Formats: sequence, C-alpha cells, structure tokens
Amino acid sequence: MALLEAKNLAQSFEGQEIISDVSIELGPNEIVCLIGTSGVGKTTLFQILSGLHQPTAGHVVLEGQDITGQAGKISYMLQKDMLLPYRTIEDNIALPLIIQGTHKKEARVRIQPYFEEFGLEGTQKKYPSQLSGGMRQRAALLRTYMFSHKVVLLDEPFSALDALTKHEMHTWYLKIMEKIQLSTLFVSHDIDEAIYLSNRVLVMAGTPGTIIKEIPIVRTMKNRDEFGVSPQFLEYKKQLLAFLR
Amino acid sequence: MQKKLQNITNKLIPLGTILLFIGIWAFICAKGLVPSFMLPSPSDVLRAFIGDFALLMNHARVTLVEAFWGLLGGITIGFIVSILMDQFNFAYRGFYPLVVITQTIPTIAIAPLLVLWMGYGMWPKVVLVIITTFFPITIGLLDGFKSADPDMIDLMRSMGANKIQVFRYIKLPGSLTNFFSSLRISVTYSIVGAVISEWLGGFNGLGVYMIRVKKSYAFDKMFAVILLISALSLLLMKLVDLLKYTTMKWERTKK
Repeated sequence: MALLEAKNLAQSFEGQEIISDVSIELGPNEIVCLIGTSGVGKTTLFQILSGLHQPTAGHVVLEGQDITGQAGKISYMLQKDMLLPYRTIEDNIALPLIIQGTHKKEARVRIQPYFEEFGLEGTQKKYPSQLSGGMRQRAALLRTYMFSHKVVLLDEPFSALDALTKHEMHTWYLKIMEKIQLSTLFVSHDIDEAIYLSNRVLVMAGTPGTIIKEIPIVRTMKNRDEFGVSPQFLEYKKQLLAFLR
Repeated sequence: MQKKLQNITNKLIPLGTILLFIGIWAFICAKGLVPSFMLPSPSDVLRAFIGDFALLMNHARVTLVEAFWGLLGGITIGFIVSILMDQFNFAYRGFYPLVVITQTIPTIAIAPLLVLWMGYGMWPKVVLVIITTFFPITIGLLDGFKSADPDMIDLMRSMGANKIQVFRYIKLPGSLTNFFSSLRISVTYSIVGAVISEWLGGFNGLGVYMIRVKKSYAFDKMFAVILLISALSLLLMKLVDLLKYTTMKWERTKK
C-alpha cells in the first residue's frame, strides 16, 4: 500500500488553473523525484501536500487517512535551510515538537539520540551561523524528520550547495534514509541528481501543470557512483531531457 | 595585533576631535575673543557643574523617573499598536494615519496643554514622553514583524503552528534587531521629551533648572546642564547596547 497518495489534485487561483489532475503515489522507503521547468506548479503541489493550501479538487491520503488541507501532518524542507538564526541547533530541531505541544525540556531530551545518526554531534548548543552549509542542511532535515517520521517533502534540498558538498550530501542522504526508513518526495532542477537518487522520476509539464511521464530508474550496478557515469545513466538523461524540452 | 592597533586608532580619532574642539573653545575664551558672560570657558562650566552637583543630581533624578515611565509606556503602547497593526488589516489601516499624525504635532505646542489638563506634576511629562517615544518603537517593530520571511511562516504553518506560535517563534525574535535600534532612538527622545515638558511647567527636573539658570543668565550652569543631558543620553544608549548584547546572544557568534 502506498504511504502517501495524491489523487487527482487540481488547483486554480483566480480562475486560472495552475495544476490539474496530478496523481502521485509514494511507497515506503521510496525516493521519488519530481522534475519540471520553473512555474509548472511544483511548489503549489507541495503546498497542497503539506496542507498549506486546500486544493480545488482531489485528495491527499497519508496511510489511508484523508489529510487534504490539513497542515501539521507532513512537513517540507526548502532549498534555504530555514534554520532560525536566533535559536541554537538543538532548539531549532526541537521546534516542531514544541509547536505540537511538547514541553521545551522534554523536546530537547527526545531529539538527542538523532544527533549522532545525522552526524550532528556537538552542534547542539551552536547557532546556525557557526555551521557549514552541509551541516545546516542536515540539521534542517533532522528538524523536518522530527516533525514527520515517515514522509518528507524536499523542495530543491541540495541546490544551494556546492558540487562537492552536494555529492557528499547525496551519499549521506541515501544512507540515512535506509537507516531511518524514510520516504522522500523531492523536487529538483538537476536531472543528474534526480537520476542518481530516485527510484522513480516524475516529469511535470504543461499549463496547467500535470505529470506527463513517469520513469522508473533501474540500477543494475551496486555502486551508485559507477552508475552515475554509465551509459545507462546517460540514456535516462537523454529521455528526461527530451520530455523537458 | 594590527586589528587591535586599528581599534585603538579608531577610538583615538573621535576622542581627538572632541579634545581639539574643547581646546579651540578654551583658546577663544582665554583670548577673550567672546565676552565670558556669553561664552563661559570649559573650566567655568566644569566649576559650575561641580558646584551645583547635588542640585543637578536631584533634578536629574526627577527627569530620569519621568523619562523612565514615559519610555515604559511608549514601549508598551508601541508593542500593542504594532501587534494589532500586524495581525489585523483593519487596525493597520485605522492606526497608521493616526500614528503618523501624532508625530506631526509639535511637542512644544502640546506640552502646555498637557500641563493645563493634568497639572504641574509628573504625569503631563510622562504623557509627552510616551507620545515622542512610542512612534519609533511602533514603526520599528511593525517593520520587523512585516519583514518576516513568508517561506519561514509557511514552514511553521506546515508544522501545524497557529498564529500565536508564528508570532512567538518567528516574528517576535526576528524583529529584535529593529526593536533595539528603535529603542536607541527612543531613549534619547525620552530625555529630551521630559526636559522640554519641564520647561513648560513644573517644579523639579533638569528642564526646570535650565529655565531658572537661563533667566539668571548663568550661562556656565546652562552649559553644565546641557552637558549632563548629553551624558545621560549617551549613557542610556550604551545601556541599550548592553541590553542588546545580552539578549541577542546569537549575534556574538557572527564574525
């Protein structure tokens, strides 16, 4: 059974349709990438999934439960890490728990075990400005995870990082996802990143935006870095580029 | 090392300018270029200050108390008005012109009216200080609230935060820098506001002292009290900086 399901979502603002008939399924432990040109409605879609906006039509179902238009069920993370500069890393990460009504002290205790897992030991009392870009992004991801343990929505999560840090984050992300059993739906402008990370790539296009193609990514080799330079990889890239043109 | 040296130079330049200014002033007085009853020399001023020290401190206490209550009132009203204006659009539209109009009323004109309405005691001064100080606080806070990152607010809402939580965790801490900048302006306004209202009616305070020494043409005492008012304002501004430094710990971690 799908963990998260978007059924025939549509949204229009002032009579203009932005997205129409978008259906997505996300299974347990899956990474699905949504790719498409700017202005095709990816952010709108994420805002609907996270409950910030009510869609004009369609439903969002999380574990068999209709959560359409309900905020506080799935959180998302943006390209900007959005850590609050005036809160320590630990208080930033505890924020979703505090918002849901956990006492500050208890929230701090509950988040501690995850610092090691996310490679953030020793950063608890630091402020975001004292951390590197990659570390901040990890902290932001941990904050998102503290909020929803099963599904995370990431809106261009790694696009603000430099190439090396980005690659490091990819490797790290795949490892951590496996460890904490997380499913990811993410938006990217980077075709390479999409093919490298995902189980499936969804291509979104048109006005109003809709999903025009779904490409499952099959990796025959175990090593992802090898896959990244294989003819197979290039074949996928060619296919995707054709759809985006 | 070089940075430290530069730091010292940076502090020496303004200090040197001030000393030079006082030097020229003393020179003009010593040469008798300006009659001494019109421009007392720096040493005359210092002597007047020491001679009247106890009296000056007594008046300063009164002025500071007025300024304190006025500032406290100004901050409170500033918070209330800016929060209302941020949260409710009708409050924004309703209050904005009113808030601006209060700043176009000349202080000098309203102070005697306040005395007529409220007597010669402390309250007309406090009210005048409120009128002069709440404006920078209101505008500063409002600007801070409004400049909160909409993406950040969306993120908080996606976590299920309500309006109060968004305010408490995003808007309020995010506008602290603005608040302290406004407060820095407001503390100096509070002293000046209190002094002006004391000119126009009262028994105690630095403004009252000023009027008295002016009427007796004691220019040395006049200069002494001006100096004291400047010093008090500077001291209060430093106090605000200190408060900012202790409140905004995260700012210290930046290079």
